[in-house]
Amino acid sequence: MIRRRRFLTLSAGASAALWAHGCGDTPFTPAPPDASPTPLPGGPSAPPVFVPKVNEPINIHPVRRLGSDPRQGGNDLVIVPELVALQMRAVYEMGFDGIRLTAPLGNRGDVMAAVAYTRAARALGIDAVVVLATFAGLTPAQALWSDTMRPQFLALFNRLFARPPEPAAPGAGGLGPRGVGRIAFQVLNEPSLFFGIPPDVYVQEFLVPTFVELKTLNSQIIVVSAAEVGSSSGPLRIRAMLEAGLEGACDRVAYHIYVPEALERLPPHVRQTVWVTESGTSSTSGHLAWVRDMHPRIKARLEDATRVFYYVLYDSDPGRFRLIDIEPAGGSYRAVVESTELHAYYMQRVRDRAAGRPLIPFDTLIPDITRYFATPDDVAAYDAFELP
Amino acid sequence: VILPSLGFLLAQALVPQYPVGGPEPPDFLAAGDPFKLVDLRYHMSDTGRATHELLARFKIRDSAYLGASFEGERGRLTLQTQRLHVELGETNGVYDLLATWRAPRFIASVDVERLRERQGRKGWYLSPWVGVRVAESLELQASGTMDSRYEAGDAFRSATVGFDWHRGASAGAFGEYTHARAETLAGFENTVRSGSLAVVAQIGPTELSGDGRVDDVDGRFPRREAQAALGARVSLTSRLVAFGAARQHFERDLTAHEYSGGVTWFGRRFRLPRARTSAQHAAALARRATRMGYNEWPVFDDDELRSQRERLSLSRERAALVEDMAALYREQVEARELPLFGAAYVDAADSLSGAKSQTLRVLVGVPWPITWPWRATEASVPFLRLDLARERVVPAGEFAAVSYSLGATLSLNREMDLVARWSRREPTPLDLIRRVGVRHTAEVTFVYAFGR
Repeated sequence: MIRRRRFLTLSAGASAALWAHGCGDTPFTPAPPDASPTPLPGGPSAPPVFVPKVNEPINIHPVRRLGSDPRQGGNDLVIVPELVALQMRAVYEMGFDGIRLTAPLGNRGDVMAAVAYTRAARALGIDAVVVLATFAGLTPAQALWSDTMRPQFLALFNRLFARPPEPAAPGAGGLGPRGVGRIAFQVLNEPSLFFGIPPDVYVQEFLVPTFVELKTLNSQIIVVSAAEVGSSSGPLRIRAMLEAGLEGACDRVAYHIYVPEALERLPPHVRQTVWVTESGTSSTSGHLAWVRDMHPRIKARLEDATRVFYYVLYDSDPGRFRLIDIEPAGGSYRAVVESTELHAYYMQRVRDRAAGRPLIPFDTLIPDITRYFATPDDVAAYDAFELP
Repeated sequence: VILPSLGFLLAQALVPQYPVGGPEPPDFLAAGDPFKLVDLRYHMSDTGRATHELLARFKIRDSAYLGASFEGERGRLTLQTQRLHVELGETNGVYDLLATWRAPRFIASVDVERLRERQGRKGWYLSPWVGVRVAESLELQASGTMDSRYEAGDAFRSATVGFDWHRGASAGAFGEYTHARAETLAGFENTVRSGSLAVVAQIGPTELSGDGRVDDVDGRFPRREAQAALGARVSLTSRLVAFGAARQHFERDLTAHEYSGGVTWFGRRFRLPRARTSAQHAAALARRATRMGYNEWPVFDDDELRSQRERLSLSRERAALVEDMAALYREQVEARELPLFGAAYVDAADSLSGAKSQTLRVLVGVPWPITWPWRATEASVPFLRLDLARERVVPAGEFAAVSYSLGATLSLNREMDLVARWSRREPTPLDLIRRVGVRHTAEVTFVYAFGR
């Protein structure tokens, strides 16, 4: 979506997270969950556990600062730790089982921010889908197309994102090594819209060679195909991708769904697991109904769909897709819930699952978010990569 | 005495004069001795690296036309007699063959091509075609395609039946139904049943054309696709023609379109091809040739008429047809087009690729003898034509690629053209991804076509 491009240019600086509810017209009335999760055994006297990952994954923007800093260019390394912690706290406390974020090759600062988010998420047992794409320009596509650059690019991202971090604590509950979250690479995003790549060309010239390269490099990486736009023209392109060999060139087929017509026109069954990597509606008042009603409809119609990623935790457009806003608060920052009903819905599901059992606070698990930041060696590895 | 002199002067004033050579009709029956050059074409295109194409065709005595062409790594030999047409091609050691036999009541052809390996099997593509003339104005057609790389049961890939019908020069229709099996890149097969119909009709000063096609695709992702197109050309005045066309592709909703329209102003009287006297005579010539057993279909454009003349000039009854051919040729010369100004606009979009484009084309013509456009006379002939085009393509998001082209065609006479063309094409995002930048292309073409 175009507005996601604007987002990064507007993104801004930050500090610690405090939950607050927005003052919109919508009253704070928690909606009943559609299917209450099975409660955890134990009770209030049992030892504290991780927040149960009871909600489906969410898209996040790897925000690293709010507002521009005249001392720094666009390729700087300013990453405000409090902002990373604020978003990761929200992801953890709201019980999401995965995040999806873009690591835009060509923008060093944003790639390094994505590293911090990804490592922190995985340490909490949360899966991470890293999108090999960009919000502006063609750099990732150029690197993926080139037979000489592709291996270097993927090796760099394997180093930055795919190495499993230490779990934040035992019992993180992820499906990766030692309970950390798994890693997935999504090969470009909406290639027709953002890069002008026709569906068959995408499969044959980008996805197939990338899939082969990644499987050789690190079989732990889940390779997710690019989704196409979530409007009515997306399914046509998805079908063209499928007819060009999409299913044999990835581990997960991805769709985006922003309108019911797109759902109706997508093939109900394919020979691969499906992840809907973006789904949402552009009005805050419709968020809860979309997640509570539409997400089950998506899974009912698409029999191979196992995950639906909500779009989005935070972006710079008020009153549209985002769940929260981020506001300056003194010398710090706080999260302000904007989509109050959906937030309450997610939190209620967490509470239902926890069934009174004490939950380990985020700050206990991650007292210092900077331990997940890219190291000087990571930065050096990035700098050694010759951009196209 | 005075009246015949005036008549002579008037006739002389209307005789077309070209910069090179005279207006005499060619001798269509002249035999090669033993060879006579009838086609010579050279084309050079340079976009960073030059490619050359050379074609030459000769008439061999009065029995056949033999041609050879070379374009890059492809070579081709052609042989044409009245009944037989053979093309043998070779590209990097891979051969293909097209052979056509024209019998009094039917035409049969076969296209054979060596195919690259598929799942470890090399093979051949074979496509037979037959058209049976069941009536003077109706031909029934059948064809099929085979691919020997598939197992025996799957080797037959498509079958088509169709018809071609005409009503003199005023109307024509073509339709066909195809049942085909098409393999996708992913390796699964679709069964495609297609029906199409195309019609063209001259109604007063208007030429209407339309075509439609429905594809019923059965397979993993069944769907029904439809295409429809409608076009019209209207003579607004004796020298001004307006044209417009719309082509649309549907699958549930509209998924692609191309809309175009424009005007052309001519330096001399212009009539649409099917409304010309020559069209009536072309239909009559084809009818007469068919009655003699030569199985010719009425054709109306200069290149098709030339090919037909070549075939008939090799026929046993050519002496009986030569006057009709010469008369028709003179009418073609008389009806020559002299466009002096034209403008056209095309708007296209395709939701599959997401691309949109707008194209503006302008042409400017200079007549011979050189004069101001508004002073061209009925004796003027085309001499210089400039074609300019600007195309803006938006293939994705906010990217836009603009292309310009400029072409100049110098007509030395009716048979000889010298063409120079230059274009500048900005890269699309996909070009940039593939490390392709702005492309400048220069082209030069020389064409000699005897008896055009």
